[in-house]
Amino acid sequence: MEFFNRIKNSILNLFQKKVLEEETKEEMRLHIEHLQERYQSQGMSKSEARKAALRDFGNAEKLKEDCRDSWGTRVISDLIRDVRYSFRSLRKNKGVSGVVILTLAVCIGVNATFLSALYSLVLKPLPVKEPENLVQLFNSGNRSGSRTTSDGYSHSSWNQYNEFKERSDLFDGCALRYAVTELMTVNGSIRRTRGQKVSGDFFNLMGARPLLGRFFSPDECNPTNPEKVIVLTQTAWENHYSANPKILGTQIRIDDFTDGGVHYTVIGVAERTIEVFDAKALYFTPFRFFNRDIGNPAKARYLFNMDLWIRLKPDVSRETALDQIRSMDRRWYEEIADEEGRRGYERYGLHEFDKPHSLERYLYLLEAGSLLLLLVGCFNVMNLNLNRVSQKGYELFIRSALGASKQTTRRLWFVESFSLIAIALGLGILLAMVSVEVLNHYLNTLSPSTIPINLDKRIVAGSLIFTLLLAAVMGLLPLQIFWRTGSIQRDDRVQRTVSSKLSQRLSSGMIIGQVAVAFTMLICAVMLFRSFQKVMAVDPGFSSKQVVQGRLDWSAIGPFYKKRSEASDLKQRIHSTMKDIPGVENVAFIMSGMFSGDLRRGPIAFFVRGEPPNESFLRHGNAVSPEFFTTMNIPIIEGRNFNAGDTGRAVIVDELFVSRFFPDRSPIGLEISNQILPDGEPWPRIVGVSRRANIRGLEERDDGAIIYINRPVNVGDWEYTILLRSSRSATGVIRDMQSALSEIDPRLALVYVGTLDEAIDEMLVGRRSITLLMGVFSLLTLLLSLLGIYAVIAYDVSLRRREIGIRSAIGASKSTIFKMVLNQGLSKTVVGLTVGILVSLYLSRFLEQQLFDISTIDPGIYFVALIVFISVALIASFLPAQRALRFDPIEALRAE
Amino acid sequence: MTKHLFPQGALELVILRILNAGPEHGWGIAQKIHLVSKDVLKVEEGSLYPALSRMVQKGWIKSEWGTSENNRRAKFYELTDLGQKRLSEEQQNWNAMTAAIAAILEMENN
Repeated sequence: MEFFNRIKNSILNLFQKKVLEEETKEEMRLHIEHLQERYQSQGMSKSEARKAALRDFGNAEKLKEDCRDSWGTRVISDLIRDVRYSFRSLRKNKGVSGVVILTLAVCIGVNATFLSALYSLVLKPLPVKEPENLVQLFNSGNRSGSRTTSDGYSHSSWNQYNEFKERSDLFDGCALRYAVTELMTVNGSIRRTRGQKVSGDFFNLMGARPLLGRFFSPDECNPTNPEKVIVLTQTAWENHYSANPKILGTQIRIDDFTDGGVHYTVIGVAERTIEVFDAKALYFTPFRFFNRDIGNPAKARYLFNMDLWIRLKPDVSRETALDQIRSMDRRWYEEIADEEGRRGYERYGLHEFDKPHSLERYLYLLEAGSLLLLLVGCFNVMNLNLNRVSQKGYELFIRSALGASKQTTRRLWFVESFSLIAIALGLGILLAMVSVEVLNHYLNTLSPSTIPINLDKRIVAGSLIFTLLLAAVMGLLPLQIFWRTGSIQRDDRVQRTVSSKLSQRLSSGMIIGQVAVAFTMLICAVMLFRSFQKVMAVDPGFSSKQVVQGRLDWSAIGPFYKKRSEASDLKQRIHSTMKDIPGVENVAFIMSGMFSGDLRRGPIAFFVRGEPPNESFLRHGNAVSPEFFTTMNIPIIEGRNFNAGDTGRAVIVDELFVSRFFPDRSPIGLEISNQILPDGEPWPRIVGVSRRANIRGLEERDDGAIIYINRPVNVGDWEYTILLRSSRSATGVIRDMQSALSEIDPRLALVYVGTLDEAIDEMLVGRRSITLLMGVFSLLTLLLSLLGIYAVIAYDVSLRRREIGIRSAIGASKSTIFKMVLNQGLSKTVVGLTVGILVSLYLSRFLEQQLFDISTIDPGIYFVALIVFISVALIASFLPAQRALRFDPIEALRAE
Repeated sequence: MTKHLFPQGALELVILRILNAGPEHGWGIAQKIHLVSKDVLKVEEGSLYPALSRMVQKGWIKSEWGTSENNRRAKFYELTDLGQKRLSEEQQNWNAMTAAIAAILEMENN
């Protein structure tokens, strides 16, 4: 109570300080008058009475001061005075303050951004009930030697889900989920949307609650139940149904790939937290069999990509759980699996929980980079401050001579550092807010289903604490060092304040440290940049110019063209319509998208007729129409191109396939298939060898040989890509393409539309952004170390003014002095570089995954970085050396 | 003449006790102290004011300008509820302490 009164009154008093001051004066005056009157009435003269009254009253000024103390305004007004003082002093040193503020603002901004990204994408626990017991099962196939993680994994299946749910005693529950793309009719218009199919126990397993209505009942989850129900996400409900509370019970039409248009009854709206599994999905519907193979226990265990989430019992370790899963899958392999199933097991039979986020290694790399930047920033700021204290040494001595306590000086210094850093913090947070937006823009391309990043409150709070600590260290450490070891010479000129040995040693240590760190960063950046160049230099193997692609989403309208003849008729119409677009020279179809990144099929095994089974794996097979090679300008280097006669039975392989599997014979005429076909059935025959075309992306140059199969598009194909080569501009062609398609059937949706060049570009977004960011970080650290070296040498030169003057007076030539100063900068840099090389040699191994055609010990890169760095050190010491030359020896001697 | 100064905290207790009888201004408080303590406790009169100021700050008393008996403007101090409570607490503490000290002094004499 008293405490709050005091605080309340202190604040009130701050605004009525003048009144208080007046009142106290008045009160005391009154008291003294009373005393004086009394003495006068006792017979004293007026002046004697006045004296006696004043004596009785005591030291009025001191008493007033005591009163002021009690108002509690002193702390605040002192603080205001200190802040004012520090701003004045910061303004006086505009250059240094500006450098410190910018340095720290950039460091704080960058770190806050990437920490937020790292936290929200990787480290943050899922917003579900008891996330620590929840795991996602992956059937991993890393033994296929795959380089890209996404290829090494297969998600789980209905089959595994059912068995684990029924038979495992270690789990508290399982749930299945997978994303689908369907056509949803929203407010009268058909749109391509993402939805999620979930098993009935999904919501319960996640501990999610309905915002409105309810979730699926067990009966509704029965795949044979004709009643169709749907749960909307909160975002969809708010954005597309204006949060209408009467939505429950209404019908939503969804065209999916099995039944065509179906009306779903809305039974609930799910709260927003559950959207973490797919930020773009608009709804949930119960899990259904979309393919007759799903339910086939012998075959389907590794065939479908569904997310299987498992909640472990609280005391069950992940290893124990994995062991049980492995033994159940082993049993399935030995007792139940058919041949296709067994092949899946052989490929994906290793199991893992919780595969890392696809951006994880990028984020760790970037965060490491920004931490290094911060380290250099702190080195630099510390160093500048050490120099500042030394420069202010004279002022400090005067202060203490005038009676300022160390306490006061310390407070002043702290406030000064703190104001500086507070400005930097403000700017840094602003910077972080902007960069998070930029990052979200990239994220939308790189990982669309991820929820956007937020600048995390805890990270902002953490930055604040860090700032306070830094202010304390930065403000007080140099001061402490100065007090302990600094001295002032009898001479009273400012320049004579001698910085101590300790602070000098500390400052060279920091130069060496920042040079080492900045060098390491530079090495990383150059390696990434060179890799990027090498990737860009990869010959795609086809000509991407003038080619436009569009991915036709066939799935949603498939049900309307159920008969084979209807489907092939539609395809024929599409083909001829495309061909009729003005300027179009070639039209081709391909099953998998070009560069779209959406199709990352696992390795395919193949068998050669009449030869023992081959243990090797292919990476990629692709069904194409006969015009593919002409449209893409991919040369056939052996054998022949497809022709109209060999539908479905002809195969063209690429160079890589030949060099990998048939290095010493021609593959032409061999018959191959992904399974051993029964007698009497014709095998696909290799008719030609094409030039290697990196149609899966430039970085996949050495990764996976490709088999092209000449196969017509089937009813079962959900999507395929149309390729058009034309002489016209891409925008016109795309427009015509879209209008032609919607004339054929308005439900035909074209996705991933654009030129091939754009698609190649998009594939490189990840690599480009990381190269760019690391480049920026490296430039910043380089700039900081330039400043750091400059500041130290310049300061040192100003201290040695007299010495240099004397040297030149007694005959040292200009070049000797110049060299002396340059040497000083260089010697520290060289020590720093030596440390930097060792650190880089060690750390660059962690970069290996990001490198392309570059060795981590590439001497050329080290050489370039060394040259860059030595030039930086030379530039940094050049200016102070120039200044040293201008010192007038006469003046230096006169000062003696 | 020996000057008996107030021990720490006692001045505040005395002020509380005096104000308990009713609102009073600074000069009046000083007079009452002289009167009641028969000049045994000599207070450097000015030191009343920092003490009063501290007590206002803590919310034990509040002040208001008014007119004194001899028609002069003066600042009157008055006990608040919190002050009332503090008075009884402080008084008990004081009694307990003086009793303890008295007991110790008794023992020494014997």
